[in-house]
Amino acid sequence: MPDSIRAAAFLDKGGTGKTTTIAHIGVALANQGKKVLLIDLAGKQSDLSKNFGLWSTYREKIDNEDDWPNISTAMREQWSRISDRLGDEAVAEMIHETPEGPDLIPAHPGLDGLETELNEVENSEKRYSRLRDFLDNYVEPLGYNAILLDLPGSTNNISYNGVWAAGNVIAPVEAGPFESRQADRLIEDINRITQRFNVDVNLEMLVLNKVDNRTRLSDEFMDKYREKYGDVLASMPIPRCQDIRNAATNGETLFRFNSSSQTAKDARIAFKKNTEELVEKLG
Amino acid sequence: MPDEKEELEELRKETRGADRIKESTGHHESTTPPDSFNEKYLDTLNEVTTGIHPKSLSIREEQITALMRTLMNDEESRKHIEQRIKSSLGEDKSQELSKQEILDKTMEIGLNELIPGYLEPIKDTR
Repeated sequence: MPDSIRAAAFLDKGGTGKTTTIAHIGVALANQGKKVLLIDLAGKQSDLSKNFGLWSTYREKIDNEDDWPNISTAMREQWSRISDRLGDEAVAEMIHETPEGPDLIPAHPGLDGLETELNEVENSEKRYSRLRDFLDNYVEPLGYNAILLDLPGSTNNISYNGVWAAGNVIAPVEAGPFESRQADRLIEDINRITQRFNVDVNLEMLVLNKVDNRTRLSDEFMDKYREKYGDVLASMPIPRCQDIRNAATNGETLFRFNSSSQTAKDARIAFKKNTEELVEKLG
Repeated sequence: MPDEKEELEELRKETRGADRIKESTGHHESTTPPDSFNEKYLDTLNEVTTGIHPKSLSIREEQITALMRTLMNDEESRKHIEQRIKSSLGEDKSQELSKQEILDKTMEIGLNELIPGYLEPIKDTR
């Protein structure tokens, strides 16, 4: 049983707010004084790194071939030999401080190649447990209170590694007629993973995202989702807020971004409240 | 120790070489049965058009880009889109397109060419 609380943002669809969710929960936890590690597994998009203004620096390291070892290295079969040779430096090299409190392991283009390597691993348990082994054996000793994973918006070997490693899933979904089907499919996916592979994976939090508070439709969806998903639904929806995107473009979360718009204020409150709920569930 | 240093360098070369492999050539086990392509379109279309009146035909360029990026996260969708673009523009089918080229050519063709029924009104639930 890990000492840190772990969660992964997972939904088999891109653009739903997984990166935003992880970034903001991470900062909210750091603001509570917790030691937080964020891991970006979403491949070449590297949105989590961009959200903290780290991508251009990291990109330069990649271009200068000063990017080894990286997160994809940690999940390769050679990892234990590499870490034996490098010692503490092996993991320390991957971790970057963000200006807003959490530490971050950026995504790396090598995750694509890793996907190919994992395809060749016949044993499912071995294929999907690499990240978990890395976290259990190499990251836990560093003493983080929370480890949050940003997973790709598709079901693949990397996202399954993330789900296995975290055990707890957070999924942002939008309030729309098609979106509730996504949430249902996610629950089916998680049940299938749990039964088929005998691992403990739970949907801990469904977060209603990009909600337009000006319409009665959003209230209706909130009621409908509450009825259907009960306590899994986070108590506060995240409002549709252009400043979330503006902040990300600026390399910041809303907590740092200078905006006094009502939606920005509401979003900050919602992220904080949902973070408190998550800690209560997982703590 | 020279042997350890050499071994580390060897490991570095092996893993960096593997980092450069871009294409996934095998099949992975998925517990999720693939959706039909049009259903994926409709799901993602709904996502990017939420907030826009269903009868409006003007979708901002960034929303089309967001739509296409989401669809291209999925390998099956990406290949399907690529084939349609090549058929529509009469291009060489053996020539692979980069994701940016797919985005650019989508803007050129227009979404209706790629997504049957795109211009039909979405059911208004308000």
